[in-house]
Amino acid sequence: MSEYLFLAETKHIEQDDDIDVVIKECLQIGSGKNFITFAGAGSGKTYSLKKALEFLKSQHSDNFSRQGKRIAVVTFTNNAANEIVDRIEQNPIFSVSTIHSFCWSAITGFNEDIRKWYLEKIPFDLGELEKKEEKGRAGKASDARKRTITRLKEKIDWLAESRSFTYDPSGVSSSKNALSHTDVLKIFAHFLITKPMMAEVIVNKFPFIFIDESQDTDKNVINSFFELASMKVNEVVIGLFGDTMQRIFGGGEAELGKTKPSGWVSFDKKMNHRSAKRIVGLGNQIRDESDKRKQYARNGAKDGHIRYFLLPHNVKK
Amino acid sequence: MKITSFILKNYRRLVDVTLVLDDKKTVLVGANNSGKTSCISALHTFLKSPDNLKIRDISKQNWKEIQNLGKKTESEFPTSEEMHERADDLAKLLPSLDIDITADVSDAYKVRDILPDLEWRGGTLSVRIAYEAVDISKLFRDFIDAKNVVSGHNAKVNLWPKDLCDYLEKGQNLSKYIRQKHYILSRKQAPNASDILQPLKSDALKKLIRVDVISEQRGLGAEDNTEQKGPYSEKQRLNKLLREYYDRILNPEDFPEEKDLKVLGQQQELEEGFTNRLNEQFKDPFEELKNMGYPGIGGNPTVEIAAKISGTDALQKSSSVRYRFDKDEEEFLPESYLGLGYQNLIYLTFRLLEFRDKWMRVGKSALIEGKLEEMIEPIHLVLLEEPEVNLHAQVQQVFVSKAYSTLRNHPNLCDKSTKIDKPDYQTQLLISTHSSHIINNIDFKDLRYFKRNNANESILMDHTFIANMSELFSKPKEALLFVRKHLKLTHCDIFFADGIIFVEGQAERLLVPEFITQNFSGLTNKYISMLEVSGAHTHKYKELVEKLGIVTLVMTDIDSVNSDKKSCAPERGVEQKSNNDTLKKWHPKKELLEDLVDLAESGHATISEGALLYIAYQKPMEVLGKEVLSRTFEDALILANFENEYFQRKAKIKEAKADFEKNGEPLSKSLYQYVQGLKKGDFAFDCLFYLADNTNNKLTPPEYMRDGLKWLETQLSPKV
Repeated sequence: MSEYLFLAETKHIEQDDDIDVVIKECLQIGSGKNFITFAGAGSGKTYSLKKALEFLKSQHSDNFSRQGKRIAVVTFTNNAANEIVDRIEQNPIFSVSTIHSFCWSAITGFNEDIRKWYLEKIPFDLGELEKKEEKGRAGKASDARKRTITRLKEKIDWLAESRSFTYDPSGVSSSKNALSHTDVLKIFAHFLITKPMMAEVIVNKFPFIFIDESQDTDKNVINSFFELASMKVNEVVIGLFGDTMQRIFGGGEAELGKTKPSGWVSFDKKMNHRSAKRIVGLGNQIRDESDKRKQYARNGAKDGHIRYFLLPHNVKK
Repeated sequence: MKITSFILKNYRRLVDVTLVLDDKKTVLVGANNSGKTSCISALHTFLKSPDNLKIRDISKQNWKEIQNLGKKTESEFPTSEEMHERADDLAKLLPSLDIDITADVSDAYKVRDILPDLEWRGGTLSVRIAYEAVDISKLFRDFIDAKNVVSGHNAKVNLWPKDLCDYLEKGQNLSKYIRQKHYILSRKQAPNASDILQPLKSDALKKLIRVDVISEQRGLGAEDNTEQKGPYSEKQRLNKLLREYYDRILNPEDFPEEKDLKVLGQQQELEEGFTNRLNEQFKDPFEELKNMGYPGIGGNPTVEIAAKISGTDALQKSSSVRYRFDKDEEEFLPESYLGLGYQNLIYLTFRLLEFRDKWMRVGKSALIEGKLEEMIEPIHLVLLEEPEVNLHAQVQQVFVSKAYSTLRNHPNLCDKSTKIDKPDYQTQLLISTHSSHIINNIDFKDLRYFKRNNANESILMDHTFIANMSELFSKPKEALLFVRKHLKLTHCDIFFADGIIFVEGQAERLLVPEFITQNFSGLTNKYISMLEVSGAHTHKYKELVEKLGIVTLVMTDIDSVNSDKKSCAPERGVEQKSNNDTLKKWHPKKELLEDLVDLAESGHATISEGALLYIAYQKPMEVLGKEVLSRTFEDALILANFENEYFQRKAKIKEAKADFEKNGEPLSKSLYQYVQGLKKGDFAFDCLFYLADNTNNKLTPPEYMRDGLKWLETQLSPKV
C-alpha cells in the first residue's frame, strides 16, 4: 500500500489566525454582525473562544459588572462547561453554563407563563393521542396510551391552580412541578420568540452570546436564537462555534451552515493542530461524503498511523 | 427606574397610608406626633433592619384582635384547616409595606426577578413585604404551653403571659415567631377580586434598592455602630468619621495610583527606618531575654520588631483633626471646640459622602461590599431624620438641595460640566423635618403633609393621613401660584402648626398675640401659625387649607362700600355691600352688608371640605347704649376700648365721643374718618408701647375677635 495514502495537505501554523482578528470586528456592541465559526477537531475552537472572551473582557469588564451585564457562554454538556471554565481566565462577567441551565435561568420564576404554555400544549397532545387511540387496536400500545391519556388529564386539572415550577439539571426529581429536559428547551425557545420581554431581558443582560457545539444544540433553541438575532439586530451579537461532524447527542441542527440566516458571517478554521497527517486525511475522506469540509494538518506534522479495528457486535471485554 | 410610592399598613398610627415619592426629593412635614418619624422608622425596619419590629409598633387597634386570636386558641386549639385561616387572620393584623417601582423596558433584565409575568411592557411593578408567622402552629403551641404553666394562678396574680400580645412582647419572641416575607404583588383588577401574590426571594429587592439612613434614634439596627449615637453626641468624633471614610474608601494601600506610589515609598522608608532604630533600642532587653532562656535551643524563632505605619493610624488620635483660622498662622483649635452646628454639618456631609461612594463602589469599598461583580443598585434611597438639629437657619435653607447634589456628585451620576443628571442610577432623598427653614427653598410639590385624624368608623384609633402636596402644587392654578409666592415670603410654618390664624394687616399681627396671651391661655402652648393676607386674597388659601385640614381662623375686615363701590363708613339701610372677596367667595358667601352684620354667631363657623373654619369680621357693638358698626380692626378696637383713657386722651376721639353724645353723630362715621386719617403702622405700634409701658395697661379685644379666638381655643383643646 502506498505510504502516501490519506496524507492530508499541510499548512502553516498561523493559517487560521486572521479569523480571530475578523471575529473581533464582529464583537462590537451594535455591530449587528452575528457569526458562525466552523471549527473541527483540533482546530483551536476553544482557543478562538478564549481570545474572543479576553478581548471582550478588556473592553467591557468594568461597565458590565457595574451594570449587571454578562457574556454568555453556552455549551452542551457539563464537561464542556467545566473545560471552558478551566481554560479561560475567570472573570465574574463570564457566565458559562450548559444550554439547559441557561434556558432554565431564563424562564425560572415565570410560573404563570409556563403554566399557560402547558395549558395550551397538553390539550393538543391529548387530542392527538385520543385520535390515535380511537383508530388503534387493543394491546400493550393501547394500554400505554390510555395511561398517558389519564396522566395528561390529571395534569390539566392540576394546572388549574397557580404552580411553582422547578428543574433539576441532573434529572432526578420526579415531582409534578419539575420540568423535563426537553420542555425546558422548548419553553425557552417559545418564550424567546413570542414574548418581547424575554427577548428584552436576554439581550440586555447578555449583549454577547456564544454558543459552543452549536450543531448539537436543540434545533428549536438554535432557531430561536436566529430569530432573536434578527429581531434585535443592533442589540446583541451571537457567535456560534461548532462543527457538524462531532455529534454526540441527537437533536442538533445537522444542516447548520446550510440554513444559517442571511446576514450572518461564517468563518472556517481549517487547521487541525493536533493530529498526524494520516488522521487528518482519513477524516477528510469520511467527511467527503457529507459536507465535504477539508482540514489541513500542520506543516511538520508527523505522517502518523491509522489502526483499524473491526469487532463483532456482541463482543465482551 | 425609581420608587413611585409606598403603602404602609398597621404600623403605629400609620394604619393605612400612601406615601408618594418624588423622583428626587421628598420632604415629610406635619405637626408634632403626626407620624413623620414613625414613617422613616417603618421604612428603616422594612427595608434595612427587619428584626427591629416590636409588638408595640403594630397599630394599637390591632392589639385587641391579636389578644382575641390568642384567647380563641386557648379555648379550642385550632384544627389544621382552621390553622390556615388563623394564619391569614394574624397576617391581616401585622404590618406590611407595598413598594411600587416604575421601570423602563430597557431595565427589564434588572427587574426580572420582580416581574409578575412576561406580559409586562414597562411601567409599574409592585412588591409587598409582609410580616407573617413563620410557623403558626408552633407559635400557638408554645403560647398555650406558656399559658398553661401559669393558668392555675391567673385569678390571683397577673402573670406573664397575660395574652398573645404580651407573649410576643417578651425578649426576642416577636422576631422568633414573626418574620418578613417578600412577594411580587399584582393588584386586583376587579373590585371583588383579590391581590395576587407570588413568593419572592428577599435579596431581589436588595439588588434594586440601596437604603441608607441617618437617624436621630438610637440603636435602630445591628449595622449601626451602637457607639454612634447621633450627630450631636460628643462621642461622635470627627476624626473617627474621617478615619472610617479613609479606611473604607480612600486608602491607597489597596489600590495605589501613580500619585500614591511616592508617598507609599516614603512610608516604607520610614517604616524601615523606625524598624531599624527600634530593633537597636530593644537590643539590650532582647539580650536579657536570651539570658532568661528564650529562644534557647530547639529552633524557636527570635523576636524582632517591625514598625508599621499607615495612613489610618495617622488619624487615630483625637488631635489629628484640627481647625485652622488663617493659613499663615500656626494657631489651631482642637476639634471639640467647633460649634455644634458646624460639627453636625460636617458629620452629615461625611455620611452623605460615605453613602454615595459606597454605592458607586469607589475604591476599597468595592471589595468590602462582597464580590466585585455585584451590580450597582439602580436606586439609592436615602432617609434623613430631622437634619435641622443644631444647624442654623441659613444652612438649613440650602440643606436639601445641597444634600441632594452631594449625593449625585460622581461621574456616573451627574455630568461634571453640564451638571445634567444621568438617568442610569436614581437617587431618592426622603427627609422628615420640623423646621420651616428647611422647607423654605423647596418646591412645595415635594412636600407630604402628615395629617392627624381622629378615630372614625373605618379606623378605630387616632391615625394619620398623608396629604400629597404635589396634587396642588405640581401644576398650580392661579390662586395657588399666589399662595406659593406668599408662603415663601412669609413663613412656611403653616406645615407644622396646630392651628392657623389669617389676619388682615400689621396691626392685627402685632396685637393678636397680645390678646392671646392676656385672654386665651388655652392657645399659648399651641403652635399657631399667623399669616398676614388681605381679605382680597385670603380665599386663595382655600384649597391649601382644605387639603391640610388644619383648624383655621380668619380675622378679616367687613370692608363696606357704597353703591359707587367706594369705601365708606358702614351704615344700615343704604344697600351697602362688602368688598371683601373672602366673605363673598369662601364663607359666609354673602355680599350685602346687612346680611353680614346680622349673621348669627354660629354662622361664622363652618366645615370647609373637612377643614374646621371660622371667619370673623366686625359685628355690631353696643357703645353708650347704641348699636355701632365698625369697618376695620382699628375702629373696632377703639370702640371696644372707648372709655379707656388711652384712647380718650386722643383729641379726635374725645371729640367724636362728644359729637355723639350731643348730636347723635354716628360713631361709625366719625371713627371711620379718624381711622382714614391714621398712619396705620403707627397706630398699632403706639398701642403696643402703651401695653408695654405698664403691666396694668390692658386693651380689650373687639368682640368679633374674642368670639373667633374663643372658637379656636375650643377646637384646639383636648377632647375630654
